[in-house]
Amino acid sequence: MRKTLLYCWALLSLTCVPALAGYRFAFVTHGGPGNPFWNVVIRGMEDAAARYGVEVQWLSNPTFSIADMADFLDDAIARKVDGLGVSCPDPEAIRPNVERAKAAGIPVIVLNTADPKAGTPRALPTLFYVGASEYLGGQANGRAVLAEAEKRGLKLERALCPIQEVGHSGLEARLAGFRSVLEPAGVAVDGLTISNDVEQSAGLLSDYFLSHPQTRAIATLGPLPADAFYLYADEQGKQPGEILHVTHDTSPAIFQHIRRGYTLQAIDQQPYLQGYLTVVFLYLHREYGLTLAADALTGPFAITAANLGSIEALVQSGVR
Amino acid sequence: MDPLLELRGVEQTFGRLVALHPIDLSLRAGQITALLGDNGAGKSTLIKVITGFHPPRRGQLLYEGAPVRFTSPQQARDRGIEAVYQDLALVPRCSIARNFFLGREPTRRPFGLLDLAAMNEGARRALGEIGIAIRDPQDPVETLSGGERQAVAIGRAVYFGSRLLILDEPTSALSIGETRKVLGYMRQARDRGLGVLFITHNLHHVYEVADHLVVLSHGRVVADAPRDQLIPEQTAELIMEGRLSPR
Amino acid sequence: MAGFGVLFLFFSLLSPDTFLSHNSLSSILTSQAVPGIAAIGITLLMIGGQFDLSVGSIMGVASLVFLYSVVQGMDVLLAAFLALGAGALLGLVNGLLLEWTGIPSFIVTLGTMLIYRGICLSAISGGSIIRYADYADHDPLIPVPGTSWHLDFFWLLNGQVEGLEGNYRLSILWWLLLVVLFGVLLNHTRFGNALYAVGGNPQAARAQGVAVNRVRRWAFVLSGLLASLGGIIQVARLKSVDPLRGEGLELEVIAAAVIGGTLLSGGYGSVLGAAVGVALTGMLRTGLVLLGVPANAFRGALGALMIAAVVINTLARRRT
Repeated sequence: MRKTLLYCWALLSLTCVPALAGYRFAFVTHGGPGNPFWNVVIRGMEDAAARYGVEVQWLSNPTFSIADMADFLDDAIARKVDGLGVSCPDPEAIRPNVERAKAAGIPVIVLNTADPKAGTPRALPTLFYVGASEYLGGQANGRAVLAEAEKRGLKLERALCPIQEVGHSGLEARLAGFRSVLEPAGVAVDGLTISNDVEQSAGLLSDYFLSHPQTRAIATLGPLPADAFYLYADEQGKQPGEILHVTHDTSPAIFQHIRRGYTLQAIDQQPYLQGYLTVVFLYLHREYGLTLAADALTGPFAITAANLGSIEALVQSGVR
Repeated sequence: MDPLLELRGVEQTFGRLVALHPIDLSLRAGQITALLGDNGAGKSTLIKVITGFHPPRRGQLLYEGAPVRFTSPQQARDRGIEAVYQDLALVPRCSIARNFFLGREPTRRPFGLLDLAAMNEGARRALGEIGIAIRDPQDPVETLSGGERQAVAIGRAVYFGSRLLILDEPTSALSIGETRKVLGYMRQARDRGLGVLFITHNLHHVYEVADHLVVLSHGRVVADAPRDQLIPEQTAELIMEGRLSPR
Repeated sequence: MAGFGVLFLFFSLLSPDTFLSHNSLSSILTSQAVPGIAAIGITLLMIGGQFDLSVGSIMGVASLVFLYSVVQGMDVLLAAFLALGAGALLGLVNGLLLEWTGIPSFIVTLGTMLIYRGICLSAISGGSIIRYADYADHDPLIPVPGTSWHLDFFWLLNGQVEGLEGNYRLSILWWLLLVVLFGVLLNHTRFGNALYAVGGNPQAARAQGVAVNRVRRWAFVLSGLLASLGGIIQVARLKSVDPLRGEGLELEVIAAAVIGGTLLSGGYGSVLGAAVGVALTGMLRTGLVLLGVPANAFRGALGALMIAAVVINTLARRRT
């Protein structure tokens, strides 16, 4: 019994050795390894950490859990980290924790999902936001859909925008942007709750399209929902252009489908930058007290068949 | 004196299977009766009728001279007919005292909380009166040997006013010393005026402790006599053959 | 208990300056108060020989009922009672299903776990979360009887205790009170004795006149009630509800109960042990974060801890 304890001790100590003289930053977000999108963010974070000689720690729950975010924030504050990168899918829930971080002198940068009340008196006490403008991204997708419909002479009646992480304010902003372009053009936009489970979601999509044959456009809000759409299209033998597809974020599957004509465009928020830049800015803030005067927008950046070529290589290396 | 429990013409069937042909039987207080018979003779069915598990298809039960009809084991138990099965009597990880008073725990005011002191003392004293000495009433029952557990179960039945105690194979799986003790507790119960009915396959035990023998064969009573009227060889033959060969 | 001491020493020695602090301790206690309350209920059930895999989903439904009612304008106390009633009802359904079908509780509650979660997912149309902040600026108030004062209800349930360093919250108080209350229930009432008997040897219990089915039903009701109480208290802290609330809770609390010495086979256990088990899992999480270990190692560590705890408990029991 004692021997096993000793081994555990030794093992854990080894993982802690890298805590050298550098700063210690923690990232508390609502997603993590297992989701291809977040893997790129983590990659960016780790690359920046290596380059700047700082230690980084990723704290998230595999399933979406606000409660765990609050708990991890408490733990990170207890650890007296030098900086925090936090996503804000539910700002009010983590408000007390962010305020405690501020009181403890820990700078907080928001990444990936912005605080919707930023710039107002009710904003969370953070430095600034590194990420895409979700709303603009949704709008860009909306415009792409309308343009394509016009090009094909297609009278669009309905579009679907399924949401996979319920309550995620970033996804809601994308949906809102999409809606804001389509609805004035006379296209009704349906919502549908799916999950990050690809097979299950494909089933849900299939049921939806069966009961709504007039829906000819779909905007997916992430790579896993896009996979669900691809699975559905594959199984139902849908041809490119039968259902106009736009999506957010990227993955090898999405690029493939852009090339084959299924997907018009993918709005990239350059997740690598979100991880990378957050580390850089935290470092510079700690080291020299520097900060930005406005948010660092890493998107929207539209990837289409036109510019796909240059981006593909980077996908293989996990940077995009 | 009226018998404690009398069965008149009791029949039991399951579908088309006749388990018990009309049976007349009397069990008396202050008497140990052994219920014998080969497997399938109907002993368990008879016990189930007596303890209220299944009402008989036909026939009557008279308890202390008055007709009764039990529709649940609880009813039989309330009247004082209690069966003690080896593994099914006690909760292993609960203490002796908690087991002893299970379902009848004494409580105290003001909140109706358990009177643990009364339970511990009461269990120890009650068992002591029947000649069962336990070390500590707070010991979990699983620390007791098989014989000691039987003792607690028997002691509990006696203490709570059981009139007819029914034991199913009480000494199987016990050592010789333990068996001796359990047979002693059965005598104690009898001496306190209870009627005891026990099922067994062991003729030695029968002849050591029983006052009266009842042998079942194929659902019929083939012998119902005081112990002194049947020698063991005869009893064995009755069990196996269902009748005595003419001498 | 020995395991608790060992783990405590372990983390104290590895991160002396951060582990032994109010920030760390309060992080552990606050984050574990809500699962701790649910763990009481599951311990009761396990002592009675049953499982309840649906506690997480019950918590989700109750949280939803609570906040939804509040933002619809219902009086907050009434909403709380409604939510508790919903939880108790769902628990009762579990108990009744077990009684009527005779299917093992593991399977029954596996099914209801999915059904109740389905209720959560489909209840909010469009699938967004409910945020209290969208509805009102200040927390709901309840009148203090006998005076003209009003008390912040959310603060009463799970507010931060001012003036103390760290993040100590009132939920800890409620958790400990409930541990004491249910400890008394288990060890000093007829119901408690009956529960142990029903779990340890149901036939013996029935032979002694214990209403086995009724006892089991009550155990399920209490489990549902406690899970929903935990849910309401959690809502008071996060001030929002999403359909995934409580997801994964069941495994955490069962693990905690087992670590605390409750046997899976029934008839043995204690709420104090469950509380220790819950505190231990919290300590494990916080301890690992303080060591700089990323969050995805937590699951594996928890599993290892549980196995170790069961081994220790079994050895300890065999020696006595």
